[in-house]
Amino acid sequence: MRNRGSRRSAVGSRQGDSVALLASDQLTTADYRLPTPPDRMKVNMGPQHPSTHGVLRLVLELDGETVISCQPEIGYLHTGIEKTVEDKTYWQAVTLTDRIDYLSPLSMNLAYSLAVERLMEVEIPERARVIRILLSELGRLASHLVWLGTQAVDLGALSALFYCFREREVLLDLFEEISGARMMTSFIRPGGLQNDLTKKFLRKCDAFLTGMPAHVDEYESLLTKNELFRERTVGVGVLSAEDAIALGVTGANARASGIDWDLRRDDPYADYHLYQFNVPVRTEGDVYARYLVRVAEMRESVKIARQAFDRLPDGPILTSDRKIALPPREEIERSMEALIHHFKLVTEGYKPPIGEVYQCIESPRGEFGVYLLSDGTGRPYRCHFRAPSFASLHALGPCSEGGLVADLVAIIGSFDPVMGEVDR
Amino acid sequence: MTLPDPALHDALTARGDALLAWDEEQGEASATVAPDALPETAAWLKESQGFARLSDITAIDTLRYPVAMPGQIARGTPRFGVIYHLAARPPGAVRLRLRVFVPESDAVVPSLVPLWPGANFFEREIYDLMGITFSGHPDLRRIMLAEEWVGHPLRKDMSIGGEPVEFTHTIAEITRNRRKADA
Repeated sequence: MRNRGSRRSAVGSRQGDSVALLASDQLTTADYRLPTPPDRMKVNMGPQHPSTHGVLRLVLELDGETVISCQPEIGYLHTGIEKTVEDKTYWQAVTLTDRIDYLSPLSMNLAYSLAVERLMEVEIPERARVIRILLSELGRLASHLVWLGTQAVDLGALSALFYCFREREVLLDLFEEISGARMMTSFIRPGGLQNDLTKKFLRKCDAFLTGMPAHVDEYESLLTKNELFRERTVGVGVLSAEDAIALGVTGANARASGIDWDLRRDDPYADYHLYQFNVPVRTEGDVYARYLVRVAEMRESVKIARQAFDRLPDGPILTSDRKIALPPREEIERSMEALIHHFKLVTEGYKPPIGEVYQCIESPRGEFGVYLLSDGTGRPYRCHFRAPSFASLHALGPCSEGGLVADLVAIIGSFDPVMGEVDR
Repeated sequence: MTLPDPALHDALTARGDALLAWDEEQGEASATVAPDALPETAAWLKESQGFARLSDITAIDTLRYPVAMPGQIARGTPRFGVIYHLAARPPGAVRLRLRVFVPESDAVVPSLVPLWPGANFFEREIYDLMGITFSGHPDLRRIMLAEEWVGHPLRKDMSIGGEPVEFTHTIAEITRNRRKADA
């Protein structure tokens, strides 16, 4: 765990320091001795530090430049989403899920929708299932682009950020095109989707998926063999496979430590078993390995999204089950029953049977889980979100102890925490 | 998500009176165990049954829950439940949910930090938001809320409203103030 071996002995190196002053008859030299300089210093890093990716505060104990201990203090972004959800109907709560991991709102929407659908035992149409895969992979790309750009900036490679955000802008435009919002999409909903894809979306998405592999090459040409980047990342912040499992680290962070575990392949949800993709795994467990795994994952995401794009079937995008989905507008004007359904759904929401469900998905940051407990009313009795960054932050201490303060910046970035998700 | 081997249920039952209830719902298996038997049961599941990862820990407050959860009644319907989600290494996606119920008067659950260090933050979160204490936790203090905060927001009897607003800007108030100023 302690990767950099340069750790000095904790006490003693400066004990002998004293300043010889003129001794008088009354006073001994000991009285003039300056206080021993403290060997260790406690420093706050954050919560407003630019490299902490949000409002993360780290209480560091330092011996010179060496980190002796690193204790994350979180909660600065706590908004009580889990409590708020208890006061919303099931479909109102979708908008809150966007705000958990605000870099990949589509994954959050998906996890919550899958959990509600399992409680309600609803099947959704195939077109909606394919679009969900397409969108969650585009969302993963958008999220990884932020990670790559900021990780590079943290290490002084400014240009990578501009390249990454150029493509992210295209993705955000795509999300805006279909949902009307760049970030808080709330597009994937229990029962299906908010809207169908537009022709413009399909055209732009096609062009994006065709061009993206070349862009990933571009990022790699900036960083992968960059001597300065390698110098800052190789062998830094090593997380062993045993620690990753014991600390509950998941996703790309665990796969960079040799844990071959991807829920898309190993616990397929939302039809992921129908798609061909590889799961990149590295065994080094350092910052560079986490970089390589995520970049490789971006290529796989493009592959999955392309497969989804090519197989896009025709059909409805919302279940016809009126227990959960609003009837179409035209139907309300013709059918009394549809009007009643509409009224009931809007005022009371739907009521899943009493029971509980835990639905986990592979979000860009790892295993994101939704635990829903229903008491048979229109509002969730309890809703808990298992946040992957919350668990990854716990690994920050063991990874950074014994290393340098400057490396800590690289390590935080490599875990890709999103504080909205950590604090919820 | 796949159900564990049926033999797991038999083996759990054979481990004395630790197991209070077993149910399989929505394709997920859940075992309710006695709080004092939790550490041994979890250690046994981890070491010999292959549940390598503790995925998640959360807590529920059953104060207004209409029915008793499986295994809750066995000990006089305790109020709080702590829910553990364990996951076995692939291949396969075997998961198991563990439930532990504790009464309000003695809301203490043995900590699983010695077994899975990753339980640390999750248990602190529950301690903070639900007010359940974990005995043997190395650093049990609030994690989300400020140290001086009173109460545990995820409890069902915690009010969510009633915070006085300093500047309401209601029409009635503005008119009243204007009249007062004119007079």
